[in-house]
Amino acid sequence: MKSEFIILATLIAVFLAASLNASPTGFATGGGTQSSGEQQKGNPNYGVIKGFLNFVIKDNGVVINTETPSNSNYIYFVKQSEELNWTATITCNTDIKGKVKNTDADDSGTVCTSIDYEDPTAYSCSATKSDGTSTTIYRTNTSVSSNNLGCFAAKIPSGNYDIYT
Amino acid sequence: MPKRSNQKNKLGSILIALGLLLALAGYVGIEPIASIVNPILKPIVDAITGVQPSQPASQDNNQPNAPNTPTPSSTSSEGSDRQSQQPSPQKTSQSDSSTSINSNLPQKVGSAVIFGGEVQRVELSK
Repeated sequence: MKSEFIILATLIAVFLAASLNASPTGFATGGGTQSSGEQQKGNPNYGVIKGFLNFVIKDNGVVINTETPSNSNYIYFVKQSEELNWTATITCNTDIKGKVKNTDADDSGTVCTSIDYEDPTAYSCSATKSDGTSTTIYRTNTSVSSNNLGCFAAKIPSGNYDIYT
Repeated sequence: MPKRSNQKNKLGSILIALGLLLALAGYVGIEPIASIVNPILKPIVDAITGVQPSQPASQDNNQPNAPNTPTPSSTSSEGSDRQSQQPSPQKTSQSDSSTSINSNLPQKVGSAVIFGGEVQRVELSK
């Protein structure tokens, strides 16, 4: 008796779903369309680095003065263990496309506030290593907007970087 | 009267002997006698030998900064840091300008590992 009721209820459910052009199983039914919804996956090629820059004065290794930079400063991302010839020309003419939206660069709102960092947030640059060979580095710059002085957020390729400024 | 004259001669001999001893100690370099005696004797010796006092060889060691060496305040703060750590008394103006250029070169301020699809936060100090 009980099993008969379950079978009957299942048949009714399938009938109703078919009459409504839907699929209780999740599979598309013949002759109809099935929306799978937006599928998202972490970008395997790029990440975002964000933060802020301070100018400091140290006394025997202890910071005794901190200053927020009032001008925009370049921040370079160099692949770890690569030594660059900084006196050689660095050419940054390739945008890394994409804005970084609604981001608080310090996560606390104390130094930076949530803003959009506009496209491009970083550039791909051609630089010269100490051994004279060419390499690729990435460059962003700190914000000069009020409430976000010294803050930055940049979309750059995934990898291990040394940061220079 | 002859007795007093003998006493004067004795005193004179003692003073001359003492002066010679001091001069010898200064010449040999026995401290602290040398440091006291040499400044007194040196001008006298220079005057006798004709050496110009403005070009004594020993002054090069005592004055590390050449007169035309720019003061630290004439360079950037980073440049002055380097100068204080590595004093270079014989720097020419050309080498000073290269120091100034180098001080503007980017400095390493941190490291980061960027994973695809993720956000990494850093705090940089320079």
